[in-house]
Amino acid sequence: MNSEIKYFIIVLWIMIIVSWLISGEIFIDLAFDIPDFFFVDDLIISAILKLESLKLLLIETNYFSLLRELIHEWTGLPG
Amino acid sequence: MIFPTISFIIFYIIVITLYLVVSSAKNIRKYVLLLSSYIFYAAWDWRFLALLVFVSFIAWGAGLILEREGPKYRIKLISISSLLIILGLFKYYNFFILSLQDLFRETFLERDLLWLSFILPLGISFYIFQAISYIFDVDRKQLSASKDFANVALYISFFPQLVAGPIVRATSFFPQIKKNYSINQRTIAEAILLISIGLFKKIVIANYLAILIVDPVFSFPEEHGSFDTLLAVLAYAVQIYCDFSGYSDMAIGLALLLGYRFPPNFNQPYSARSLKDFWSRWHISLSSWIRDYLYIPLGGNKGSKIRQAIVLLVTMSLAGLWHGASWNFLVWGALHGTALSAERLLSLDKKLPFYRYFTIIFVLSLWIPFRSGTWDETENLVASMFSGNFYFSSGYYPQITVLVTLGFLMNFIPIRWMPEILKNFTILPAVLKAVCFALLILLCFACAQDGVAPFIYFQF
Repeated sequence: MNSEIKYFIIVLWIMIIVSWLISGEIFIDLAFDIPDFFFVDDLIISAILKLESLKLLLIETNYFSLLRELIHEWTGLPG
Repeated sequence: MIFPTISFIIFYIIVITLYLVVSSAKNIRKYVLLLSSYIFYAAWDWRFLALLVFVSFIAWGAGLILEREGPKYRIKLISISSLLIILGLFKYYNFFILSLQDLFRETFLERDLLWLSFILPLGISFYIFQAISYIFDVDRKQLSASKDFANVALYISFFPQLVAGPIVRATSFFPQIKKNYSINQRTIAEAILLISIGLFKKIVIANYLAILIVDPVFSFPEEHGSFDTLLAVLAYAVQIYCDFSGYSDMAIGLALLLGYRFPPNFNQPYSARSLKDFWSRWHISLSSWIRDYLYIPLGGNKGSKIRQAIVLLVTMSLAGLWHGASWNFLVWGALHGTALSAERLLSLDKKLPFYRYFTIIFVLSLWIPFRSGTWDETENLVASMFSGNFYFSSGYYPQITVLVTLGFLMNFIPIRWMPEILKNFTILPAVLKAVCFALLILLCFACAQDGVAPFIYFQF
């Protein structure tokens, strides 16, 4: 297996987890957008809700929103 | 599911991880991509997945029969006609019915014709064109027909280019299915740059220009003065360039990480020196498709100059109609065809001084009928442009000016800078590249407005 792309993908997965940690409840919205598919969508939603409550114990601040507000305030672009 | 969304990012990372796991098994690898492409398309509307499979089936079957000995004209005619009928039915049927009804009304023969309420399947113009090019290439013996249905199906439905191109040729795609999956540091760096630049062009420049100036002015031109309408036309030129070239950049970058290299689709179109030059730089994959499968078969550069001009006019009018079922698109294409014919017949690009500036003004002016939904809207916008009212109605002029400037800069960045930027980025370790990539995406999303508007070329 190509080691460069392997490390690249592993770090991308880590960055997805970091993004999830710092970006509030965006994944809950995504989970509720999953179409009905037997028991699978319910399983995913309940897993994400459990993970979200765990996340709240670690990080409460939505850093992504703060960054977003800062950029929009600085550039004057509408949200 | 469209590119600049969290759901697509997660989908893509899952796909590339699976692809990496099975990368040594060539046969399984293509099925992972095929299944992912079908999931990608079904996420938009699963009902049209059958249509995509059917189109692939026509191309695959026609390819196999065309490779056998014996008369081929009939099978070529049947397969190409079936594909064009599918395209015509979904995309142009209602337009022609409406136009016919208008014509009957004008001639006092009013009658109700059968109107069909269809949804336009996403990317239909793109995947039908790919299927047609496959049949032509097999018939011209430029390519051996694939016995494996999965190869043809993957070529037609490969998700990075499925819904808005670039229109890839089977001759360049098929050898890449068989190639070993090997990605080096330079390819990763190239893909990251393309995806990040494409994302910035789309969700920052194109989307903001759409909501801040283009959509309000084009929707209600009578409420805006000359300055606003002029600025909106300029902004639309930047919006459509950033929207479509941004999509192409992302598509090329996403395919690169999966081991597929697509040809570039844009090459600084607003730097063109003539109209012919513009069409060799704008939507290159469509221009070359139209040249190879329409213009040349219709006669191309053969025959008298008048005949060549007529062929060019017909080709460009059909290219205009490809963009959508509307008289505005047809007129847009016909005007480009007329100007191209005049340029060639009279050698305008060699005789006229400052011809490149005429070219850019002509291209920008023709974006007006292209963007306006109807001819009345076009007339209203032109009337507002020449109204002589120079009042300002937007509170975002500094932002619009910066975005338009940035968009044009994206077009004019010297090509010679790119290898240097790429070289500096390539030397970073893979881990650092991934961190930079994630931060660039996060920054683009933080700059963007809430929700992502669909790409302009999705409607074509």
